Amino acid sequence: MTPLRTRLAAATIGAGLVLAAPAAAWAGPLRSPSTPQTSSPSNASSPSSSTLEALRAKCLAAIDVRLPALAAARADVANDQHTTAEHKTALEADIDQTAARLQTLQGEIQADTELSALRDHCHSIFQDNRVFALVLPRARLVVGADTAGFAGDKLSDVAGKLADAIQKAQDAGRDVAQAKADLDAMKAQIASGVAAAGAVPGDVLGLTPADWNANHDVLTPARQSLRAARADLKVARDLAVKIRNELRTPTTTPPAPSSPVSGSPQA
Amino acid sequence: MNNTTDPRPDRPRAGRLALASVAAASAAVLLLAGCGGGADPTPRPAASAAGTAAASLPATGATSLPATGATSPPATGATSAAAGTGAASPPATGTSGPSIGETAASAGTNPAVPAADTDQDLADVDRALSDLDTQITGVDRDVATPEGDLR
Repeated sequence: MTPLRTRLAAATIGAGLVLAAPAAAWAGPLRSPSTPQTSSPSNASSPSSSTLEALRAKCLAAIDVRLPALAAARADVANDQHTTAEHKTALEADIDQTAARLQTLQGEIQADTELSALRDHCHSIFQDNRVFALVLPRARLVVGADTAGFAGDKLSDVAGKLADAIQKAQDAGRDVAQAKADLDAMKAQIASGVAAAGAVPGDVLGLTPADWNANHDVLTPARQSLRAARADLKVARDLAVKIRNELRTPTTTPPAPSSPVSGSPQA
Repeated sequence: MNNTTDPRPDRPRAGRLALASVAAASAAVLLLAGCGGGADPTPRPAASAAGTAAASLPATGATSLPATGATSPPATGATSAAAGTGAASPPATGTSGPSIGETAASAGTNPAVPAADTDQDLADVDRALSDLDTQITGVDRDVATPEGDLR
């Protein structure tokens, strides 16, 4: 071998070492994490096995989304100050039972070796629990209904105070006809709102996933009731503020609220 | 007799080649060591990876389930903030009604003005109505989320 060939051969070997060594080093260990650690006892080499693993991963992911959502909803219910103790107990039990079912399914899905069994367990995540369709919105509806009830109670307190103020104004010789009419309207709105909200818990607490499977609009009446309650209570709230303004208007002041009468705070 | 002073021309060439080979091998070893042996810095088992993804979600879990078509409500975050945590919510009710603050400023100017704690009652009402809005919005978001199922 000539010296030139010897040098070329050495340079080629050196360059090959430099380029090939890191490539080989990276190529090896990256294979191991790609092997799923889902405690699958099956061989992942066959097509049916890969289908099994893909389905298993999807189902476990579905559970992994639902369990934290349930935990968050439970904490919100527990911390809510307006929800009655009875409703808290019912909602927490519902959430706990749903979470327990999902955790059981999680273990079963991880252990499944047959595609049919895995499919059944995966279907159960949805069919037998209905977390997003029923459990979570039900909790919100009940909490919202009790919140509306709290608002109604507060507005009733305000109505009582406004009634006293109207009486005082009347005794002082003021014209309180409009204030009285507004107060009556306010009380009617409170009653309507409280009644609409009060029906919601009883309508939804007994619903099951099977009920939702049979009728996907099973929560719609309760949602409409809660919306109606909110609208009524907001009208009542606005009437309360209106009555206050009426009572604060000096007797010598014309009823027009934009009148620049001296000392009028409403100007 | 003394090899180091041997005038033969092939010896230095052979030495240079040997040094070049050693240098190339050393470079390869250094690169190999620098790459950490190619170990994956963040090995993630499939199951725990899903759990981590879920844990990083907002309280109600905002992510999509491509296989099932189900998505969780975003930020329940919001979402999640959703159910009944309205203590710190703003008092605005979104109505076009008169402001409580405006009328409170005029208290005491008229003997028929209701007791001062009416202001507090109405502020409580506003907070409750804001909480109610939050719940209704959360319900709308939940039921608009496809529950999903296997196909």
